[in-house]
Amino acid sequence: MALIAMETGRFHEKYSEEIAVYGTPYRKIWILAVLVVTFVVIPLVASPYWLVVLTLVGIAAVGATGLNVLVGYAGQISLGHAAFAAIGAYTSGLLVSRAEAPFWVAVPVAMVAAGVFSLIFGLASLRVKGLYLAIATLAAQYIVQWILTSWTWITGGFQGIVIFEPIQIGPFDTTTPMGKYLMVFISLALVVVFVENLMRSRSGRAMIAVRDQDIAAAGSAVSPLHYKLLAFFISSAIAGLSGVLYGYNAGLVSTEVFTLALSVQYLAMILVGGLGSIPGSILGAGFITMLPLWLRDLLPAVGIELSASVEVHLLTLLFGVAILLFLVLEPRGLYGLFRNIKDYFRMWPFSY
Amino acid sequence: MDPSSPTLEITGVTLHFGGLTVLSDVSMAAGAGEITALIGPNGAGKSSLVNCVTGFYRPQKGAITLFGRETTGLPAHRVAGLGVARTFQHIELFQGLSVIDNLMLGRHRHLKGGALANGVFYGRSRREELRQRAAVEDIVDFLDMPHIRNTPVGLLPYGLQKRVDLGRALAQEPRLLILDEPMAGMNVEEKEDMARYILELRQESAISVVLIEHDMGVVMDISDRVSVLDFGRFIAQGPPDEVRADPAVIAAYIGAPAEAATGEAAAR
Ligand SMILES: Nc1ncnc2c1ncn2[C@@H]1O[C@H](COP(=O)(O)OP(=O)(O)OP(=O)(O)O)[C@@H](O)[C@H]1O
Ligand SMILES: [Mg+2]
Repeated sequence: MALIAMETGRFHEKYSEEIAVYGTPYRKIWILAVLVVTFVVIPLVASPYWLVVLTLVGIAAVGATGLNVLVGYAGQISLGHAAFAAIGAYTSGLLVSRAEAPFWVAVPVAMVAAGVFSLIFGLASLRVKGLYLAIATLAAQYIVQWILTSWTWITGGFQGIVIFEPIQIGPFDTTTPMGKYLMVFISLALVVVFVENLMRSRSGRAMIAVRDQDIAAAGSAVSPLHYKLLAFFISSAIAGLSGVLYGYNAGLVSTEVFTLALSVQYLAMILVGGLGSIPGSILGAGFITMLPLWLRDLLPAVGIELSASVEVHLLTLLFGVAILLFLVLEPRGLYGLFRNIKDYFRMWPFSY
Repeated sequence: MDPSSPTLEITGVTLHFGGLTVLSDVSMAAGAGEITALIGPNGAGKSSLVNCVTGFYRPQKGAITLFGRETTGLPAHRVAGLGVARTFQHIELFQGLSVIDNLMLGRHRHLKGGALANGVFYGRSRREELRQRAAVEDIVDFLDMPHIRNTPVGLLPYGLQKRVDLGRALAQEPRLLILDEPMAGMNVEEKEDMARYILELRQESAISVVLIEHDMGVVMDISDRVSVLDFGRFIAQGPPDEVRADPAVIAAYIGAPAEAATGEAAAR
C-alpha cells in the first residue's frame, strides 16, 4: 500500500478507472509485494536485532508521514513535531498507567490531545509563513520540554512514566520484539492508508490548493484557515501516534527522546525521502534511522575508531550533507531516485 | 432602470490603500440573469471593486449585497460559498495540478465529506468523487478541452490557462460569475470562443455575469448593461448604446480611445 506510483505507460479510457483505488495491475502487485514482505517475510526471516531496528524505522516513519502531511502537502512548516509526539506519548502513558485505560481508549485520546495541542501553534500559520512559522512551532518544543521537566508530579520528571500494559497481537504481545514490530507496522499501514485516502479526496486536494495558491483556493470556497489548521491537527495527531509507539516500544515514556533533535530529524527524513510523498516519508525514515547504525558498524570495520562524542557530531554533519545533497541534486528525494531507477528498467533496453 | 431584485448591489463603497483612494462612493448593481459589463480606463478600480465584492478586499465604507443578503466584510471563501465564482485578471491557478484537478477543486463546495470521512471511508468518498467528476467532465467538454484534461496547467499556453480559469469558476456552479478581463492578451479567434462560451452559458442557465473587459467591441456585443468607472468614481450605467453615447464616458476615454472603441463596435 505504500509504494503507489502512477503508471505512465498507458492511458485511461474511463475516468472511474483513473481514480480506482488500487489502479493498475502493476500497482496491485506492488502493494501485495510490500504487504507480503512486511507482514510475512520479515517476521519469518528477520533476526530479533533486525526486528528491533525495523521497529525503530517504523516508529520514525509514522512521525515522518505525519510531518509530510503538514510540510509536503499543506506547505506549512513545523519544528515542534517532537513536542507533539511527546504529548501523545505522555497522554497515553498517563492514561494507561494511572487511569488504567485500555489502549484502544488511550491511543485515540492521545492522538486527539496531540492534534489539539498543535492547533495553538498552528494558529500562527494564519499570520506567518516560513521561518517565522518555524520559530513559532519551535516554541512548542520549548514549552513541552519545560512542562516535562518542571511538572514532575504529572510527568515523572527524568524518571518518566513506566508501566505499560502490553497489547496482545495474535500470539504475540508487545513486550516481545515480534509484538512490537507488528504493533508498529500495523499502525504504519493504517496511517498510510488514511493519508493516501485523504490526499485523493476533497480534504487533501483543498490542502494542496491552499499550499499552491491560497487566493484561488479562497475564491473556490476553500477556507485557507480551516485547511491549515486541519493539516496541523492531522499531522500532529499522527506524530502523537508515533509518540505512543515510542512509549509502548520502550515500555517507558521519558523526556530525553522528544528533543529538538528529533524534530529536526523528522524534517531531514521527509527532505531526504521526498516532500509530499508517502513512500518517501518511509524511505527517509529508514535512511535517517539506520545512518547512525551503519556509521557505528562501518567505521570500525574499516579501522576507524571514534569517540562517542565525535560520532554524534559526525552524524549531525552527515545529516546536513545528506539534506543538502538531496535539495540540490534530487529535490524529490529518495522516492524520486527510486522512480527514476524504476523508469529506467521499465524502458530498458530503450533507456534514453 | 435598475432591475427589481438585483443579484449584486453595491452602495457607497469607498476603499483606501493608505493615502490612495482607489474607490470613492461607488454604487452600482448587476441584474439577475444579465451580463453586466464593468469598464473603465486602466487603474480605474475595476479589479479593486471586484475584490471588494468577492471578499478579498474590505472597503472602509459602503455595503455590498449579494442575492438580497448583505455580505460586506465576509471573507472570500464564505462569499464563494454563497455561489459567487470569479476568474482572476492575472491567472491564479494551481499550476502543478492537472486541468481536471483544478476543476475538481472548483467543485469543492459541492463535494461532501470531511477529513475523517475522506481518510477512513474511501469507498464513499470515491463514489462522491466520481459523481462530481461527471459534472467536471461536462465543463471540460463545454469548454472544448478534453484533449488537455490531464495536462498540468502550468504547461498550457496562456489562452488555454484563461479557459481553465473560467472552467474552475464554472465548476463552482455559481449564481453570479465575475470575469476579470477573461479575454486580455488573447487573439481574435480565442476572444470569439470566449464570448461564445459566455453567451451560451447565459442561454443555458439563470447565471448572472459581471464582465470586466477593455475590448469595447466585445462589451457592446454581449452585455445587457454597462457600468463605467473612472478614477475610482462611478460615472455611468445603462444599456450599451446609451453608455457609448454618454458624454462623461467619452470624456473618460479622452476622445481617441472612445472613438476607436465605438468604431470597432460599429464595424462588427
Ligand atoms: N492591494 C493594493 N494595494 C495598493 N494599491 C492597490 C491595491 N490594489 C489596487 N491598488 C491600486 O488601486 C488602483 C486601481 O487598481 P485596479 O487594479 O483596481 O484597477 P483596474 O481598473 O482593474 O485596472 P486595469 O484595467 O489595469 O486592470 C491602482 O492605482 C492600483 O495601484
Ligand atoms: Mg484590473
